[in-house]
Amino acid sequence: MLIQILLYPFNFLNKVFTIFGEYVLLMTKMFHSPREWKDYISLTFDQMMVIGTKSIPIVIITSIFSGMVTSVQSAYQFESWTPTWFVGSIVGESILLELAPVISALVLTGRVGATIAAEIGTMRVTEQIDAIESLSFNPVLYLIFPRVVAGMCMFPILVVIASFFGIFGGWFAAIMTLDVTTYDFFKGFKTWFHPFDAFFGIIKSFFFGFTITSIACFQGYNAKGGAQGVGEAATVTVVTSCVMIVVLDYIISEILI
Amino acid sequence: MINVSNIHKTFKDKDVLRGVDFSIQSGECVVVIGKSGSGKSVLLKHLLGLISPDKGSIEIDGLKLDELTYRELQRVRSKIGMVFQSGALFDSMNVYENLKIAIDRLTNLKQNQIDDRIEQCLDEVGMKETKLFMPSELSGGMKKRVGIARAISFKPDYLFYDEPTTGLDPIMSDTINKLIYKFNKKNKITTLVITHSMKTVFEIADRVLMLYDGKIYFNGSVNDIKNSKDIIISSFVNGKEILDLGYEKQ
Ligand SMILES: Nc1ncnc2c1ncn2[C@@H]1O[C@H](COP(=O)(O)OP(=O)(O)OP(=O)(O)O)[C@@H](O)[C@H]1O
Ligand SMILES: [Mg+2]
Repeated sequence: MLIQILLYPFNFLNKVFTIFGEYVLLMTKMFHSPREWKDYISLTFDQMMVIGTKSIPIVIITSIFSGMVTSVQSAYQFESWTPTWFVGSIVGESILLELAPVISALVLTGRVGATIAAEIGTMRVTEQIDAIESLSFNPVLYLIFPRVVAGMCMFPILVVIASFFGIFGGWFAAIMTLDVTTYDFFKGFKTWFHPFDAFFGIIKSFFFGFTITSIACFQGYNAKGGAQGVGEAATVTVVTSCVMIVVLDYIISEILI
Repeated sequence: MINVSNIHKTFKDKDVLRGVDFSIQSGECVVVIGKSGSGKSVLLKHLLGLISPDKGSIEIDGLKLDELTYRELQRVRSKIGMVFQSGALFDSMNVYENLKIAIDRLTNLKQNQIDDRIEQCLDEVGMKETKLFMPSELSGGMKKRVGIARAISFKPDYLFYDEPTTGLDPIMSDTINKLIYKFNKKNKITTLVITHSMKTVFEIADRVLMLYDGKIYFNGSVNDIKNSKDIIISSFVNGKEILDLGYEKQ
């Protein structure tokens, strides 16, 4: 019993590394036959629609509110110590650097990641993936490649949208509830604005897009059993992706700043 | 011609296949029986290269599956039509698209020829009216028939059926048995059928294999299996538990 408890961390680590190895192997399968990619381009455009376009509303709503909250809370923290136009700077920087990419990614983990995991997982447990393979398609290129590529292309675009609406939300809250004028807000925004900041969020989102879609594809692809296995794949996808997003967020910031 | 020699497969610690040997000649109709969980579906997936054996080899038309590159394996698969146990229709596509994707991929037909082929295949299985239905709108038996239509749509050399009649009413089972028989005899498609149903065996089989305990326990004609005195075989053929049979004999 005691030995089991002591061994638990090692077993756990062993399992994590095994799964990570399987994940890497599955992802590299996409690069085995680049000549076939062209056969799967149209599927990729379909996925861009599903992953990208259909996520726009939820991204807009969450980003507007995170902008508004940032605005109100930063004003509250500063109280009367600092000039109010600082709000514009805080909102701008936090939205561009952190909130737009990270909050969008977390929301999209549920919206996109869980959907992909459930979809591919269902295809696995109902033998549809075997059917794809028996029709001599490459299931990795048929299912995983379009989703991962669509994720890497669409997440940056979603984050640009999120940044725009986040700042809009921040501005809106500032002029409505705080005594900040539009002029002051954008004065603050411009004071500490570096063009790189906008770019930084986009880089992050590129990696988030890859992480979320690839984890979801991996989990779905390896789903076992029936409905329960599919549910588990979706849950594990959401949990793992959320953890990976915050970890990656830190690593990318450490490297790029 | 298919040649399976000495394949072994273990999942975790469960020995599912423990040395399976058999071969299928071109044009033959071979039926594999065996109880639930005996590894019939696993065996079939080996033949498609969807699962690779731990030991042993599978040869289709003289090509050893484990020695092929992925592309070559795909080419072998393109000669095989597979009817999955659950139908395995793509549930994001309607019936028409389910057939179209297979024909598009595996033949060089033009659009109007593809449409004709789809009509013809759906007609064969009596599912013409459901062309625009989604798989979720079909019953189990209808899904199976569409699965058969999809498998024959690209005119394969081989057809594999995983429990084509399980869960169907007797009349529909009979229709499907007749279809299988027809494709085998008229279109000369080499056929492998997995089933629990002795009726299917009696109606279509040229030869019967029985999978038991991870091995081919019986390999012979329909008459041989009918008249077999072996207790394991006769209990399966007559659908009785071994104990019951023993009791009857006394
Ligand atoms: N991918 C897998 N991983 C682990 N075990 C598996 C896997 N596929 C099949 N098995 C196991 O192999 C055994 C045989 O399964 P299989 O599906 O071939 O049975 P079957 O003969 O087709 O049964 P049925 O008639 O009910 O369809 C089962 O015990 C199953 O649990
Ligand atoms: Mg089975």
